[in-house]
Amino acid sequence: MKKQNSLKELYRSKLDPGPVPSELDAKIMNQLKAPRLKWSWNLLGFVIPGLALCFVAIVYLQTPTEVILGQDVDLMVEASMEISEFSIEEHTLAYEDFDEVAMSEYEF
Amino acid sequence: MKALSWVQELGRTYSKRPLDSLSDEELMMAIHNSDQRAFAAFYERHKDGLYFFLKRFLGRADLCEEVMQESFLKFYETRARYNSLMSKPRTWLYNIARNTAVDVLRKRTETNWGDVDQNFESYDQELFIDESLEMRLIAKCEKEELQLCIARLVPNQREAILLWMQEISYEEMAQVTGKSAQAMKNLVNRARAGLVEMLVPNVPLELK
Repeated sequence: MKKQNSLKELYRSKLDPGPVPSELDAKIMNQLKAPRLKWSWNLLGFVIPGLALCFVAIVYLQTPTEVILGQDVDLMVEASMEISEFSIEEHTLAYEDFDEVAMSEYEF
Repeated sequence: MKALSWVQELGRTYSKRPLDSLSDEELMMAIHNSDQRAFAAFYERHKDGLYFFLKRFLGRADLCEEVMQESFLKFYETRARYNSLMSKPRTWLYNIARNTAVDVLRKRTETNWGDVDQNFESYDQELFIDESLEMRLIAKCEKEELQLCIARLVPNQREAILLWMQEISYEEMAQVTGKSAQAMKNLVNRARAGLVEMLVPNVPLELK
C-alpha cells in the first residue's frame, strides 16, 4: 500500500498542471457573489414581457387608426370637407342625413 | 427548551474554530446554510485536486477552466440537494465536475464518447502489473511523454486512473462515475498496464 501511495505521488508530480490561475479563483468567487440568472427568472424577465409586447403589437395592428387616435370618423370627414372649401349646401348634398347641429359646432 | 436545528448547532461549533480546521462534512453543512466563507474554504481545499483531474482529463486549459468554474458554481447552487448519506462532499463535487466535463467534450470534440459510460465489470479479471517496473518507468520518463500517454488512453480509463491518483477509493470513484467499484478497479488496472505498455519501448533497455 505504501508503495502504491508513493507511485500515486510520483504520477501526480509528473502530471502536475501547476497552480490554479488566480484569475479563475477570482472569477469563481465573483460569480458566487453575483449569482447567475436562473431559468425561472429568465422566464419572468424576458419571455413574459416579450409575449406581452407581441400581444400589444397584434392588437395595435388590428385596430383602426381612428380608434387609436380617439377621433370620430364623421367629424373627420366633415373637417376634411371644410378644408376642401365645401359649402353647407354641398355638405347637405353629400350627406342627406346631414346634422346641422353638429356642423354648427365647427364654426364654418 | 426547544431543540436547536443542526445549522444552529453547527454555527455554535464552527464559529469557535477556524474554517480550515473543519471537516468537509462540517463545511458542507455551513455551505448548505449559504455560508460563502465556508464555500471559499472548501474551494481552497479541493481546487488543486479538481484542477489536476480536469486538466489531464480534458487536455485543454480553456475547457478545463470553463468546466471547473461551472462545476464549483453548480456545486454551490445545488447545495440544497446534497445528501450526506449518499456521498461525501468531495465525491459529489467530482461527480458534478466529471459529468460536466463529459458533456462539454461530447458537445465540443469529435472524439467518440459512446463507450464512456459503459460498464466494465467483465473487462479483465486480475491484470498483473509489475509495480517496480511501473515505478521505474514513471520516474525515468519525461513529463511531456507521460502527459501524452495519459491523453492517449481511452476516456474511461483516463478518468479512472486520474481519480485513482487523487487517492480516491474505488467506492468513491464508483459514485463519481456511476459505474461499479469493481469496474473502476478494472479500468485503473487496464490504464496502468496501458501506460506501461506505451512507455516501455521508449526507455533504455536496462530498465526492462
